[in-house]
Amino acid sequence: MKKILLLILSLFVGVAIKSQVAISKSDVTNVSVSLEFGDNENKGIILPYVTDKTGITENGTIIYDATDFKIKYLKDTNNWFDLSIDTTGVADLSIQGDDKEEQPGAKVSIALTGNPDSVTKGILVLADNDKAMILPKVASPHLNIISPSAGMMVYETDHKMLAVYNGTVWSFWKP
Amino acid sequence: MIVGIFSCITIHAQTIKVLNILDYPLDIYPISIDARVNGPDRGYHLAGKLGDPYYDTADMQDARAKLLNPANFGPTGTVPHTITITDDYGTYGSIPGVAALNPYDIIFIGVKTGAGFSPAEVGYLLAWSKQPGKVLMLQEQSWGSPVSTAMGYQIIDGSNTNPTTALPEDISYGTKLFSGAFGDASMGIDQWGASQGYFTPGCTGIALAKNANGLATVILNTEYRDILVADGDFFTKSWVGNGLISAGPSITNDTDRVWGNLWAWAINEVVNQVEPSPLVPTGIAYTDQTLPLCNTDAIIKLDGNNASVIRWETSTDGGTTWLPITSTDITITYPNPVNNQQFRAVLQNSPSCPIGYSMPVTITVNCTVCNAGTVAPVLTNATVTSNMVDLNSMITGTLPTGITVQWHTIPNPLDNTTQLSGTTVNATSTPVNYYAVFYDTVNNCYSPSAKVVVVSNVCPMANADLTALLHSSLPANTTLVWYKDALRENGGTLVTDPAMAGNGTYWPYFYDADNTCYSPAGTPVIVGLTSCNNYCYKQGITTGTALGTKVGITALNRAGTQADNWPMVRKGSWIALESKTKGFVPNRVAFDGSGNPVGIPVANFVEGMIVYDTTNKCLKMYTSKDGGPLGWYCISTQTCPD
Repeated sequence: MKKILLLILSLFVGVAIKSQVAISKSDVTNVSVSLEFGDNENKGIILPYVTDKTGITENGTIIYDATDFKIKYLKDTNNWFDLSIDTTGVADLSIQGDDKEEQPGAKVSIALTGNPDSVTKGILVLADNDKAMILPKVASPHLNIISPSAGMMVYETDHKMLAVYNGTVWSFWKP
Repeated sequence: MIVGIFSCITIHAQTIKVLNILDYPLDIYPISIDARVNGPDRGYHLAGKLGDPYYDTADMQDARAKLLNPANFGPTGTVPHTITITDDYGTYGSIPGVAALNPYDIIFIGVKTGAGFSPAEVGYLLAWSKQPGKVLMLQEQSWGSPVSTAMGYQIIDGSNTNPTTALPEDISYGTKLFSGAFGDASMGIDQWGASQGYFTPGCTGIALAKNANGLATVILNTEYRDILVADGDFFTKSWVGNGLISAGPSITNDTDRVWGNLWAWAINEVVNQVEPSPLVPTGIAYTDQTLPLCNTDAIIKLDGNNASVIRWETSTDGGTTWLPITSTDITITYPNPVNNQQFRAVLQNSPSCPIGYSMPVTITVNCTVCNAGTVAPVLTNATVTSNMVDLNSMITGTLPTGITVQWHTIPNPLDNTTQLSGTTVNATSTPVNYYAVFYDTVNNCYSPSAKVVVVSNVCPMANADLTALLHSSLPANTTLVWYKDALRENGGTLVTDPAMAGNGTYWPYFYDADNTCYSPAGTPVIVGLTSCNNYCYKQGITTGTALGTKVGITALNRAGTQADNWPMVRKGSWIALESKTKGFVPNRVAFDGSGNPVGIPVANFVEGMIVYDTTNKCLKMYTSKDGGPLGWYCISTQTCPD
């Protein structure tokens, strides 16, 4: 796909996008990649700042929990796995205040065909079960991503780790 | 409203209108055949012997003067109401009906011998008196007590039964004849003459005073709200000049005071329009014993009864059926009661009166013995190899049938809501208390508890610091020492470095070095160590030029509102997702037995790939573990890029 500049999807209904998406990259690496990013800048991916996660039931869903400023994923039913641990996170929620109404049907789904997954709830859903996304890759993000926004997630290439940022500190995870 | 206010003032300054019923018409003398009194006993009323020159009989001129004295009854008197007395109806049968009596508040009736009152008149007087605030003041005599008798209280002639003194009921029923507005009359009052009366038992009366034989001489009849006295000359001046009431209008002696208090009570009835009501026998059954009982006789008592006990009754079916217990005492002893057995007294004033019941008392009986015992479980060293601690490893020995050991989160469990679901607990860096109890599964009861503290190390410390635990104050000249054994004296091992405690059970003692002695062991502490990861947090850097975010997906209604410049305002990202209630859902992929994702060829694995593993329920990344070859691994261990 072509490089996309300043794309804003403000969604009122579900949107299905073809099964492979590359952002700031000329093409995906192989047919098993659902989503990947450019490798020429030190950038990550910013998760949604969720203020009410009670309606999220899909295992694997990743959020930035704006109630305690932590990155979490739903490991199993009612079991959110805390990826931040640190409790000093902060985020600017002012631009998603009460005046910004949530559109219940808003959703982007990246899948092989049409709209194969109308059930799974999420703002961005990678729907295929035979593909994987490649995380944005940054070497030592704590040294190279300048003024990162809260809720950021990257693959740390120097030490082969997952790195997440809660607005104050980076937390790192390994197998 | 103004009328209401005046009305209110009128009531408080109310003049009390008294009708004094005469013995014969004053204007007909000698006594006509239709007089109420034909014999010599004349003048037993508030007009005394007026107009009767032949018989110097009972004279109530002094009693009358005390009523009319404004220092006693007047706006500024002891009782702030003026009394006016009308003398009338001296002719037998002359009372025409209740309506003729209604202008009066109080009617005084003394001794009427001979004809007395017609049956119709007695009916009028009683009907009048049953109205609220209408008081008959009856002071009749044994040989002529038609109105008292009609009320159920006949006067019997006793002899030489003085004095009449107060019963406790004079205070408990609020009449206060012997302790009222005009003062105390502790010496009592006397009846004059040879005929000294007392009342037969009745149904609706409360005895307020008794004579020397203990028989009732003053009665509060609750059915009419009237006070009856059993003699016509408690308050008369004797015809031999040796009267018991003092001369003149002043209140000076006990008889004067009772006379004044009697009228003070009657005026209170008038002013407050007190409504008569029949007396219902009642009382309260109770016990002083500590319940529940076990193999003990029940001792049941009665309090506050207003009538005599004629028997007791008991019920074992919650009060549906009652069986009699033969006793007229106010205390009974009942052998071997059953649980929830009830007792009540049956009360009656006299045999022809209505019966009533006391409030029942319920006796509980419980002889259950708790086989859990009164001694807490004895704890021994736990088997500990990690932060997962099996508390039950502290319990040794065989338990009796029906007894189990339970672990609870509180020292004195009441039920299973505080019981641990499993006996293996996770030692944490914050110490947690657990309590072992014996539980009697048959009787559902607990023994006292034994406490244990479970604690882990505080990372990055590899060992636990026992010295950091809270403990009670050290006795003077002692130190806190730790042993690895509950029985230190049997070759126990001293812990030389309690700040570096490994897995195991530790027992604290106070040690007095001067006298080389120890306290008993304190609460044991189980240390279960957890391995510390070397993890860290890194601040995000802020120096340099932040990169904007050019791609955004939002669920919010942002169309046309660019003032906040989202998503560019988010920094350092390829893409910003925005939703208040929805997350980012990566591919969810099943994994096979070899640990690889189903449907993704090995050749297509790329470092940094991430999926949710639906087989093993974890976020899985294609990366290296501790410098090894790339593979799919659950993200599980917090780490540090240093």
